[in-house]
Amino acid sequence: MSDTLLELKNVSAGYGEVKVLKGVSLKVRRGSITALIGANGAGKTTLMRVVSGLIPVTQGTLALDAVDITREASSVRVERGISLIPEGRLIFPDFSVEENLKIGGYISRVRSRQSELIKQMYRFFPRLEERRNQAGETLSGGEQQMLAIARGLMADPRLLLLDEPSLGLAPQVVAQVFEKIQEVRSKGVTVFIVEQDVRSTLAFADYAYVLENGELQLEGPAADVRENPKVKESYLGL
Amino acid sequence: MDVLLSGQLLIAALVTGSIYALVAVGLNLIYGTMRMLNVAHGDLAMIGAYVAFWLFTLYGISPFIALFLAVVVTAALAAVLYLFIFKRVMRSVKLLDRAEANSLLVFFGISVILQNGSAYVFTTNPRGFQYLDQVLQIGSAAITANRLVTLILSLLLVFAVVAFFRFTMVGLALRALIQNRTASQIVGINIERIFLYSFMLGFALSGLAGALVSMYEQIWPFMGFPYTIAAFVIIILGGLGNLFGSLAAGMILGVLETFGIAITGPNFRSILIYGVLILVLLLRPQGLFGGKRVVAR
Ligand SMILES: Nc1ncnc2c1ncn2[C@@H]1O[C@H](COP(=O)(O)OP(=O)(O)OP(=O)(O)O)[C@@H](O)[C@H]1O
Ligand SMILES: [Mg+2]
Repeated sequence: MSDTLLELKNVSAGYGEVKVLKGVSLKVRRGSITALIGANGAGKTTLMRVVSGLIPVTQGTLALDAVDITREASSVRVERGISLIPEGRLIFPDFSVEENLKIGGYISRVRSRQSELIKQMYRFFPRLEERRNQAGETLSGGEQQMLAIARGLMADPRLLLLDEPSLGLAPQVVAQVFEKIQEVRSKGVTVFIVEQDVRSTLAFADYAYVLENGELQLEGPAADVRENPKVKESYLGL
Repeated sequence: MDVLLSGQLLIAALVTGSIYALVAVGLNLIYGTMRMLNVAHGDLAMIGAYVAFWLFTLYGISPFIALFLAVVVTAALAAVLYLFIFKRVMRSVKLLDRAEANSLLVFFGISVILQNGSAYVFTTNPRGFQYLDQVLQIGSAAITANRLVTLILSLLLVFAVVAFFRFTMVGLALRALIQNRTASQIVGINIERIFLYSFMLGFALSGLAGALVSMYEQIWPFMGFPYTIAAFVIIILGGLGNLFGSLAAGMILGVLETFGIAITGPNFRSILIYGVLILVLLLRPQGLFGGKRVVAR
């Protein structure tokens, strides 16, 4: 079993005529927390969408555990263990909390363990259990984010993709969310995370990539990236 | 005034309403999951009615058995149309923005083909057959046995459909897809398969309704159109994408139509139905129960 869980080779992708990613190559090490940072519009969300299969590549390949998944549909990738917690949460507004979790456990790999997983999520986020029958759209922003994370975990992923999980949350809640992510990783889940808050993300990740205008500018262990003069200037405001 | 209170009309209203509910929920399902308006929806009821008619006339097969064949025929037609036409329309990213408009034209073409094809093959002669047409007396209300059975069956089917959407994983996936296409992909729903299921289920429910009404309605190639119109009014009334709303609104339109005609006269049917449509569009365009999100992709 190789050290690399996810590998992108020379990946290009975009939206119709709009080219966003231009030949991105990167690796996410098994068991790591790997961060992707970059300015607004750099292409971070696009990269997450490419990995989860929501948009196709125009060039390059993706591999999970050395298996080529470039042409696989998103549903197949979820079965393989890739789960996305998307930017903007995208919970199901008319579903109750419980139905949102249930549909998170839709894939056949976990369907038989659905109720057990839901219980696990309620232990993880007791707040969700209190609100189990409430409609998704009536939850507060923080509760919606917890629900989005829990829904993503329902698929029992090997690779968890997180796109700005702290967006719009109060600092204490962000700290909680980061704690939960650490906990998930300690259970052996590999985490690939996009965050705006570069400082705390680099403090918490093992490895980091910096994306600019659809191209990788820099990579390295998070501690090194944090000390990089360019990063200090552009992202840490030092 | 007596007839309005006799219970006779209420039963008739429930018969019409439950059939409407079955036809409309399928239309709304296809609209909700795929954002496509099936203007050929009522024509599938026509196909179902002909299936029942021919099986009975040629082989003496009971319409209650023909129901199953009507389901198979319409579901198979749905699968063929989806796999050979609509899948391509949906897949092409370039076409996606135009998918709604293009699909409308394709459905319109399908409707024309089904109607004129039937007219060519079966002629435009109105047909009918006698099955379970003895009149039963229930209290002061008189009802033919076939209508009573239609009422019971279609109500059972409405409940079965509700249970399917509520309690099965496929039902949950269908409702998820109506709310948000991207989120559905994210949780691992194979959306193309769910599109296929909604097509098949939607077509089959319409075909089934057609087989049921064949026992007491005139069967001819253009009998589907009024059902299409009624179903459109119902899904606006019940809320676009709101499946349970369609079932309720189907019953409501059945009541409005039946009692409305009793008060005014049979020639007023279209006026009543379009009247309801215009009133709803003016007063509650989101539907009686509020529409589900019909914008998110
Ligand atoms: N659906 C779309 N159609 C066309 N262009 C898009 C679409 N989504 C994103 N883009 C463009 O692609 C570029 C990259 O967007 P992306 O969402 O990947 O950026 P991001 O790095 O996640 O930014 P942010 O930090 O603001 O979330 C942007 O210029 C954006 O305008
Ligand atoms: Mg983004």
